[in-house]
Amino acid sequence: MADIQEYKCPNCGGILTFEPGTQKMKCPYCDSEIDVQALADYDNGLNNFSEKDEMRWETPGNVWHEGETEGMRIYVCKSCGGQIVGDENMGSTACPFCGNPVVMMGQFSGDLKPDLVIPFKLDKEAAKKAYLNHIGNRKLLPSLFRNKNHIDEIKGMYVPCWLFDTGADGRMQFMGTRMRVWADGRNQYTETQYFDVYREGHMEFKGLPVDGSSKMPNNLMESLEPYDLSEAVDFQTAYLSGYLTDRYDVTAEECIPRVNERVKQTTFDTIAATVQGYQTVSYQGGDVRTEQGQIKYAMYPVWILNTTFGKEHYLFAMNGQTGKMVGDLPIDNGKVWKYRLLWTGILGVIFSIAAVIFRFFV
Amino acid sequence: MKKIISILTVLAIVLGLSMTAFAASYDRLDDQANAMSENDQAEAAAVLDEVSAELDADLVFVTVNNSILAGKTEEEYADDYYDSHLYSVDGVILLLNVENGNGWFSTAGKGINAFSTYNMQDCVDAMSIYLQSRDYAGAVKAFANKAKEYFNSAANGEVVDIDGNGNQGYEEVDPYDPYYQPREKTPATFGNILLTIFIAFVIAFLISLIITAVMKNQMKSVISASDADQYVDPNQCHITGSRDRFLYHTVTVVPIQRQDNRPGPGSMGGRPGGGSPTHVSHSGTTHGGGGFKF
Repeated sequence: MADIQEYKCPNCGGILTFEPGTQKMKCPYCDSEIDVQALADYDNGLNNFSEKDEMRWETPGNVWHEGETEGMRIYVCKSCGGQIVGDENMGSTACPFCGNPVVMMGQFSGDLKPDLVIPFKLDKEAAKKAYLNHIGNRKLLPSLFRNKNHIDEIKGMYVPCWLFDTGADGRMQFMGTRMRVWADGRNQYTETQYFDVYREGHMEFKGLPVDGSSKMPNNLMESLEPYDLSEAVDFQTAYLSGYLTDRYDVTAEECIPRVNERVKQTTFDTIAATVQGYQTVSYQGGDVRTEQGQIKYAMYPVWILNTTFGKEHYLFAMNGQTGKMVGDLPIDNGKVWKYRLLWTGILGVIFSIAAVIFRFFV
Repeated sequence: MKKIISILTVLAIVLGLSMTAFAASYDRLDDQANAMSENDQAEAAAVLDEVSAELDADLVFVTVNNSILAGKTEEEYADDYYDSHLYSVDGVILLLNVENGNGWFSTAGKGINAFSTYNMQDCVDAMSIYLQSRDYAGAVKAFANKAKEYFNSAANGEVVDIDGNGNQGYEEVDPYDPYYQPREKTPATFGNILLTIFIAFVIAFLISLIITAVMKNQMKSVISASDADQYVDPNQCHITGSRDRFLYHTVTVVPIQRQDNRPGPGSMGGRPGGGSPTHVSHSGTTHGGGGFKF
């Protein structure tokens, strides 16, 4: 026996039947009537969205030329495992991530060569100033932390980033409603019209960065965004001298899920914004597909300062191009309770006096 | 002999005629039950005429007994009497059935408002001393005096009436200005004060939690990016397909609640500003009124 296609009523979920009289589909449970073609398109739309968004990427490939990497060495931090690339003349230096000393491992070679670099635009002085500004006058900052400033330890570092260029095609389906209210002498009537709304759109993205270092937290790097790619130049080794370079240990492929997330969000937001003229709009389903994406390997400048307080490490970073400073500040719990007590006391006294007066004597 | 009989007959006729001549009739007083002396009738009628002229309404007094009523109720008789005698549009008729002690006010026009349920009771109280001693003239005078009072206060828009709870003497007030009761004070015991202070501090503590939460939040500056909005090439964005198509509709119907006409304070039967329940008499005139016993 062949399968019979059953259509569900979009209003109540009941099984629809075809009415020869009106030539429409009718729901025996809620009396809704729907045009046959409209229903078929609505249903098809929903069924067509794939659960897995299709996103395909080219992988980058650029190789070092002869002699370019001669002066570069790999340094390793025995404490946290961070690997940085620096001059052979760098000497002993502290790990930018945990403050412990790093040890030279050997000649730098074998990695991909970056395509682009955004050179440092702000120097160490600017970085120190930005840091002081950032911690500012925060009342909950542990005073020990403030005093124990080793801001001179702030380091300039190039962070490896994968930059993604891509086109995206999104498809989305919504249910939109419009309402009309009127009354006669006896009753008030509310009519709600339901619309099948479908949108398809195309968008292009350029230079979406994801950092390729596992030591550099993704959210810290994302908080430093945006970097202005118009100031990027073709990579030259010379740019690296005087600064540390964080070595990439996350491949572009591994970064793809993060990129997909962000691309899909923007695509959906942009498409959804084109749905106008309805009182309510509810999302029914959708998907996003990307075209062959181009990936570039770039070095982004960051001033980084690591501070240990108690048992925690605190990482502060400044965008070496724009000067934006971020970093979660530690919270002294003792001070938190001090402020709670203070406010409870002040407000408590004020409220008590007011309450007693108004309750008993006015 | 024949001469004596004819003279006596003439005397009798003359006496009879003169007797009828003495039985004066009045516009507003009709002592059908013969409960009043001629003097009393004259007095009472004069008062009724005077006050009626003053008030520009007709105050009428009628006595009946059961046989005069001939099966009608006091109410019906009073209504019909008033209507059939072509009295003015505004007026009150006081009917007393001296045989069974039923009394009835029948009111018309402005009389309906003036003789509110409370006022009728008030009038009966004023008349009771005279009614008890069967001094109907006195009762009529009391009636007339009260009528003056009621008509005048009705003209000023204030009539004393009975409110919905059957309380007498309820002054007519603006229904939107309820009687103001001063708030009861809570006693200032030690326990009460302590409790108030405790609650004040609890609220203060909760607010301090909010304040410190805000301060803690300000210490954070690191957040993940949620989207790629900043990397969009604006020249390359466009919608490549769209469809807005009507699917179906639903209609809900809600009956509108009707507001019931509520009677204002100080009225029985939905008439603000005095009055009594009204009915339409046989002749089609609307009468108010009420009955009493005496």
